[in-house]
Amino acid sequence: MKTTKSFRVLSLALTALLPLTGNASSHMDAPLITLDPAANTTDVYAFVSTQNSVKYLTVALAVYPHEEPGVGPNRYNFDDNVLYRIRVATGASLPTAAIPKPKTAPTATYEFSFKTSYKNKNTIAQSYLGVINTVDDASQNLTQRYSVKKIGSDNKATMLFINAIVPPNNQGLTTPLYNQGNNGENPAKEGVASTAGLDTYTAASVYTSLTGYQVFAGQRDDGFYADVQSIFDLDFSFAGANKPFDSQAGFNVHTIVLNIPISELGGDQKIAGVWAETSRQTTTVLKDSSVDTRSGVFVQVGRQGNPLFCEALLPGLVKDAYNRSPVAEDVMRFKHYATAPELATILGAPLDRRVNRTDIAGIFIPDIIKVDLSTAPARLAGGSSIGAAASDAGFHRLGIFGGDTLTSTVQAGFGGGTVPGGWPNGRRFGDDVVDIAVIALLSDLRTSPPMIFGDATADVDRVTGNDIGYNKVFPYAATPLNGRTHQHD
Amino acid sequence: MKKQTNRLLAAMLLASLLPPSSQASSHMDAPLITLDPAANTTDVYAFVTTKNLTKYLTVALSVYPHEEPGVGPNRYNFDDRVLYRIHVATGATLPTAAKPKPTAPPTATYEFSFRNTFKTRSTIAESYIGQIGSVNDEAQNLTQRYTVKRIGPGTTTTTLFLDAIVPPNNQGLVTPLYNQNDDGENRAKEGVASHAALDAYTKSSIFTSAFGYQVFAGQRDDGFYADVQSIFDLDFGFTGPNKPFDSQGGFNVHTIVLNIPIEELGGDQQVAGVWATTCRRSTTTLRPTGGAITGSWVQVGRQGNPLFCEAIVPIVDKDLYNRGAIANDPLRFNKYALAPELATLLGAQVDRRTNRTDLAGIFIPDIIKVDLSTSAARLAGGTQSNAAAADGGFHRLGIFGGDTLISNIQTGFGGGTVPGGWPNGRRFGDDVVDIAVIALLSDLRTSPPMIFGSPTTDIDRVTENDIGYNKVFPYAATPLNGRNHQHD
Repeated sequence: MKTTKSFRVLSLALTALLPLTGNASSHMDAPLITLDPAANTTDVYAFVSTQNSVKYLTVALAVYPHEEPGVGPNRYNFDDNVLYRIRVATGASLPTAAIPKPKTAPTATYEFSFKTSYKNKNTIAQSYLGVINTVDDASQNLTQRYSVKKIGSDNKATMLFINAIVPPNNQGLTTPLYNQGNNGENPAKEGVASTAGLDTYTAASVYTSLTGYQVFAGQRDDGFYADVQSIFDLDFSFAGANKPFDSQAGFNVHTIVLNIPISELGGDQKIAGVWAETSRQTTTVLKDSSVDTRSGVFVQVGRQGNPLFCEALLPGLVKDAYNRSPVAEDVMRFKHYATAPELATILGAPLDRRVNRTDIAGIFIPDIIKVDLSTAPARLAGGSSIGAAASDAGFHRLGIFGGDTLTSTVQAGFGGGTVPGGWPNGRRFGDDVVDIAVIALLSDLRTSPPMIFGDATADVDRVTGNDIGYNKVFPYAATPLNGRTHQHD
Repeated sequence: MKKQTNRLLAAMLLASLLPPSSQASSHMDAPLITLDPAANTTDVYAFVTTKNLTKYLTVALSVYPHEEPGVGPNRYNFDDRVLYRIHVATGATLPTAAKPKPTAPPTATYEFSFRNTFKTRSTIAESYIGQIGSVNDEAQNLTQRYTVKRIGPGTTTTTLFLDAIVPPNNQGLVTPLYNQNDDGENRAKEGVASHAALDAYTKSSIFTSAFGYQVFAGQRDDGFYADVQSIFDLDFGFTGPNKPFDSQGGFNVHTIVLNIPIEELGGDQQVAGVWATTCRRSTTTLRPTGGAITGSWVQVGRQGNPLFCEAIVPIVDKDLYNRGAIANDPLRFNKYALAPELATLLGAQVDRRTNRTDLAGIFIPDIIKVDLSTSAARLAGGTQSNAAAADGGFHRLGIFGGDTLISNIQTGFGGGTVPGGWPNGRRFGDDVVDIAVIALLSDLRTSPPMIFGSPTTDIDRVTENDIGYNKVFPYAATPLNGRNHQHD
């Protein structure tokens, strides 16, 4: 068990912008959703970005934990029967602990629905008929198309994208352009710093709407990194002969990324709350003849806001209920798990940090990611692998615990508008959420000044970077790993 | 493409005991079932064994493809809402191409249904509360129990096992006894040759019924080995800087193994047909709280021989395969076995691309046929250090490697010679991708048949499993350690 090594002193209370706990982000949470991988959310991201002087809220949702590259071109896809939603609430529509159920619907709900088609169904080769040179060419047999709809707080629906195309999964020789030197025998291309540097499949799968939205949906490297094995193994030292160990290294996920022009949210002088949901229709009737029927309204089967909430804070008893219930009920149902987190005890936190954790509840209840839109763009993670674009100067995986902060014009934050540069002010690709969470849990953020566990070099689980560099341009998520050559820890 | 290098002359027709094609065994077949991993069958095994002078038909069903060890103790389990079935048909109940729908149901259908329990639900630690000293002790939070029923003959229902227990998944430090020297930092224990040498969790999860059945259900190493990546990559050379490559290396599955005393099937002077199905209730109603699962069981997945759905049935009918009854196989799928697309993809001789009555003889209807009259099948072990060695005469290519058995009831290839492994039954360790490709590139319609390759033929350059198999019940290998395992 780690002990508190040092206490840094910050001058103001962290209020509602700090995190906790440790486990998978959400790769294996509740019993029911773990059996439904295509609807099983792994991570939600939300951060401020800019492009050509336009400011965006970039949001992303990843699903389908632990896709082994190369074996599942037919298996790992979005599910046509799942409705994927990303919700963004601002102003009076933002759920808070005091008003968990605002009178108005979220400012914007984005709905993604997919449709799978094949060019030829009279072959055993479901995904690839040959080397794919361009997305949706004759060699890409299985192709998914999707539409994106925006529902406003007034319930008005606007179609943003129709028939957008999902690029192929990264198989290897049949998908050479994802990989270094455009050679399917090589590892996937490292993250880049310019749109021109993106692989051509990804570049061709970025769509822009008339209203300035940008969207991408497809296979990506799993951008979450952590030693989840040790956590399930109740080994909180993360030491031993086989460590360090990134349990997500070598695996892909399916990811939707949406660039929302800030103007679509009514400007940047506000805080946005972001969460995602997956839903299936009420009634499914299976038929022997293979044509099932689905009917009824969409019922939420999965959801996610902050990383780690369902896994690390909620006990087995209510994990399924979390996925099925609305954000509006978080205060009533789940607040006591945040104020007295079991994990604080498991981690051996000082006794007074095991109860009455109003600081922790401030982050997680209700479970939405809060992003301050008034700041400059978040510093982006790149990678340290050879050929990867370097991280932005000042980027730190620990965010505020590593000195990576932003300046708000709408909140005082830690004084002078200082807010965290990453989670729990938004969440970026590259944020070391397990370490940030454990640091928060072992710290005491209720006092002024707060008492902070560790320092900017704190390394809880001994995994400090992703297995491949992130892109520093849209869609930010990293290239999907190559089925033919990838490395697991 | 490999060239025909040798022609083995066998004296008689291979008749209905040989295989085709190549692709994953069944790890990623049809669109619908791939979205339902707990009901997604990967492999079915069936072979003759003996133990203490009793003869058994050993059958096994694996589900949940590509379980990454260590990350999914909560995720990778049997599904309480799925009914797992293994069917065994003999005599007049055996479906054949001529009579695909026998008037009587299979001799025996074994139904496995699971129930999940937690010792405490007030913790975030769903699977392990501490180090597990024995199966189902206080430290094993998530525990699955299961019931095994036999249906048949006719509609007679007998409960064989009640409240049998599934041992924990192999996490590492909390499950030390699965691993070498009982140390969770070490790799999983290699296959053994005696019951006494089995790890303590596995040993205590073997249950014996009053009728002499034995059962085991739990996490196991995935015993299927092959370079599936290259196949999807349309690379039939299986070469390049990153090869050879076992796509299943380092992954687990969930496996049910059942030892059926031969007398339960009416004796050993017969051929048994074995296949498995997975079913869900017809109607699922989702509600924000509660919800309901009602209606009759609908078959959502099935499997007989390895590779059939993946490598023979085209996309247009893959879902229908999983939903459809064996009885419809001749009508629906015979044409795909007769003119397998894969023969063309592999560059087989033109006259071996059509009218493959030999292949249809294996796959239509899609059941694994096992000759019960032979002596016990030779068992695969492993070549890793500490692994029990394979039985003398065991060959991964079965009959193509000279590994044969003698039948009392069929002439086979003369004098009762039948394959020692798939497609006469299927053993752990059978190199089904290589066997299938050899059969596809061979011509088994002629007398003598023309056989592609030799006993050293190695199609996909993967010739054995990543861990040695057990040579005693439950035969399937120890689940790989979440804390220490190696992917290719």
